[in-house]
Amino acid sequence: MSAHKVRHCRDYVVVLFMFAMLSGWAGCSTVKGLTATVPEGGTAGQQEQEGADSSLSEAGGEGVKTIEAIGVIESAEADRLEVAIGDDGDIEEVEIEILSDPDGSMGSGGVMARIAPKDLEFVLGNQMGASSGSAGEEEIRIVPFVPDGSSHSSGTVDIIGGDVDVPEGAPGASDFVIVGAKKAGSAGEDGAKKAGSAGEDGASQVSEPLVFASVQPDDVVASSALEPIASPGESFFVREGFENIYFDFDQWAIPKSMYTRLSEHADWLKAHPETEIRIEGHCDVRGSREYNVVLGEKRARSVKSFLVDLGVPEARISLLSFGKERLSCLQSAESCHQENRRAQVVLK
Amino acid sequence: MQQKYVRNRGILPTGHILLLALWFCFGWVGSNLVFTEKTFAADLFIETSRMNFEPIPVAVFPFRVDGLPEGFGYFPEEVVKADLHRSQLFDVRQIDDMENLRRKTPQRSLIQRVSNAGVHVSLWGKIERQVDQSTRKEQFVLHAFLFEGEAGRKVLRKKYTGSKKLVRKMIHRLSNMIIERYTGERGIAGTQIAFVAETNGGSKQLRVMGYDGYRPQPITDNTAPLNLFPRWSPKNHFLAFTSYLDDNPDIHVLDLKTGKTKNVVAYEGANITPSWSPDGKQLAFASSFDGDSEIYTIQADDGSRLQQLTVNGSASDFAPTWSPSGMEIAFSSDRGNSLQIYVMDADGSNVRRLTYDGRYNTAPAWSPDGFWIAYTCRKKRGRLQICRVSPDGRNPVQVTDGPGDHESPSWSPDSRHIVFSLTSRGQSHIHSVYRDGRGLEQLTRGSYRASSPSWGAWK
Repeated sequence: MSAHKVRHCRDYVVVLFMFAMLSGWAGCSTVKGLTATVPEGGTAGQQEQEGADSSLSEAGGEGVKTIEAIGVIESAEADRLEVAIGDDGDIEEVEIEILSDPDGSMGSGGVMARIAPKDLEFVLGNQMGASSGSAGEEEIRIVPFVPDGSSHSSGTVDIIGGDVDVPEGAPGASDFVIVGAKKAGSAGEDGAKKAGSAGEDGASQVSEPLVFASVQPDDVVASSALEPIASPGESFFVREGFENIYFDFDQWAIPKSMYTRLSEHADWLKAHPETEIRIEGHCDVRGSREYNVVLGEKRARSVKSFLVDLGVPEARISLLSFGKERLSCLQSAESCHQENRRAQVVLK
Repeated sequence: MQQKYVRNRGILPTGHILLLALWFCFGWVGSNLVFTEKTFAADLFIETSRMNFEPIPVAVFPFRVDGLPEGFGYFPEEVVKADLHRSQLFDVRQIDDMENLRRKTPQRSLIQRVSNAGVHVSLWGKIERQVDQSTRKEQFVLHAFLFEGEAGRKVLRKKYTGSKKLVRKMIHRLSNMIIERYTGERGIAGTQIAFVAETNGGSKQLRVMGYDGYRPQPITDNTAPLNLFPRWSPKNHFLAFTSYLDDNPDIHVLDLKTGKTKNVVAYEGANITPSWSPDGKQLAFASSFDGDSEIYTIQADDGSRLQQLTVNGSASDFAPTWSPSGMEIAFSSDRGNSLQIYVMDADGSNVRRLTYDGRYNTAPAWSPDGFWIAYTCRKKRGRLQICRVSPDGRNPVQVTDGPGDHESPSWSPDSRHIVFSLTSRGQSHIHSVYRDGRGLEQLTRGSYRASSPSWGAWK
């Protein structure tokens, strides 16, 4: 069981290695044009679009589709690179762990990364060939990594939480899956964050707790940035589209302001009986480590009871407490504590 | 207690009347220790670990070091001085012109000078590299010389031999020998501390370092996102800890000799805070598989014979710690609407509340001498501090009082130090402190975050 789970888990890990030089990217530099290129099985059709209201646009080359996004390199260390993708106002975060540095030089290479939800590996290339050590504007390309040289197939995409049909005839339909096909920032975590701090205001924002779509070249413009990717510190379990449930200090009872949100989670789960979820309980930094694992478990259990009361079968729900070991915010402001006191619902 | 001193009598050289007198003196202080602490321990920060004890002035001359490679990393005498200082038994005196002395055997005149300054114990040593002519095997020899009394007579010469890897251990052994000589107590130099290190990726792995923070070594390197709450077995052969390796907080036992890890408690739910019984046969732990967290025991070797100790439908019980006698277990519980420390008999009967001060007392650790239970307490401004209390609930004492959150206390084998993690401004490092609140020392440094220390037993 363990081996299977680990593998399962790794599918979610945003990641994998990089060509050189990233160790030289210190601090914060801007990535101008984060591009994802999708192979097209040999047919070379060049098209380029500018997304007027999206952080993603696409461009093409010989046999490839390129999806561009503006991103910011938040921080780079020898073994880790964090890139934020999105408009200035709606920044989504990507975490990339650099596992190797195969040829020791950046050159035209880049990061090879796997981006959630699954089966998508990208080469994050440096288009500008920026020199190592420079901080400032960098251009990065994301190119799908195809191990055996074959293209990604078009057709039905196996998406976590249910299959979504890729429209027929979409040229170069890829396996690139986006969770939360809304404009970046209004869905998923970012929305949840806003909601969490804004109380009932947040609850009203939660109209579509979980929206899946596959990204095609044709609808890239309308899709969000790389939503499903874990935010920093959460690379092991990628968050899906469920919005977080937030708790009061030292409490595990569900606050009334979260009822609407949880009811929506329950509705969605009842409408998707094939899904299984795990509720992850988290705490802020202020209690003891030992007690916080207990408290996180209590929070997760509260959420479970709530969902079960609303008719979600118990068997579909598992719990996992992280205590205060996986903080999503490291400051000591109350808003930060609030953000940490959460239960995350993730699809298994 | 008394038994301990009787046993230690044999260690002392019988021929030295002076020493015997010294020993009787400290032995007397030591045996009164229990009484005095129980009576006056509430005197926060004034109470000392040894009442009315004046540390012995000692001088340590720079050791001569031959044949050790460049970058050896430390001066042997500094290790000894730190050990002696940490023991709280010695007043380690500075000597002028130390560096000029480094390669020389201390002259009688120098020893006399030190003695005239009121320092009647002084130590010198040299470390030599030797290569066996026949086997070509290299080894290192530490010679130590102890000078004593007003005349600075050489009273002891001691020789330690071992491989290069063992040099630091030999130095700690020397420190312990000196501590035992003057107090009859076992020194803790060379003991080890396990802890959790969080590196950049957010993964938490176990490390082990010297009791003085020397060279943390990775112990686990698995794919689990979290490995938490390490606990040494009584003879240091095993580490029990909570690992998320199988996507659930399970209790794993790592055999430090073979490097093999076994998942011994894998119930659905949080299986956390393991604690070894003093005989090393059982593990007490908390598990929430039955709803709220309760305390159970199992056989440590194979996880068999599950026994439930606490039964409390609506409250969470966790963080058990055995008394050194094995007769009782202290634990933390949120029954009664606040988080407090309780004690029960080892079969789960006879539960009584131990702490009444404040609303947040957790993570108890029973001292190896049995006289104290250290725990994490929430104090002013909501800060976590280290507190301790007698197992009968009397004499609650706040040990730390600094900025930041102090938590997860663990006792040194001599019950005179407490190690804990201190988190402040996003940094988290392992610190140690004397049980009376003095002697705060940061043990880990660097970019990683360190937490959940566990102090190993005597070596």
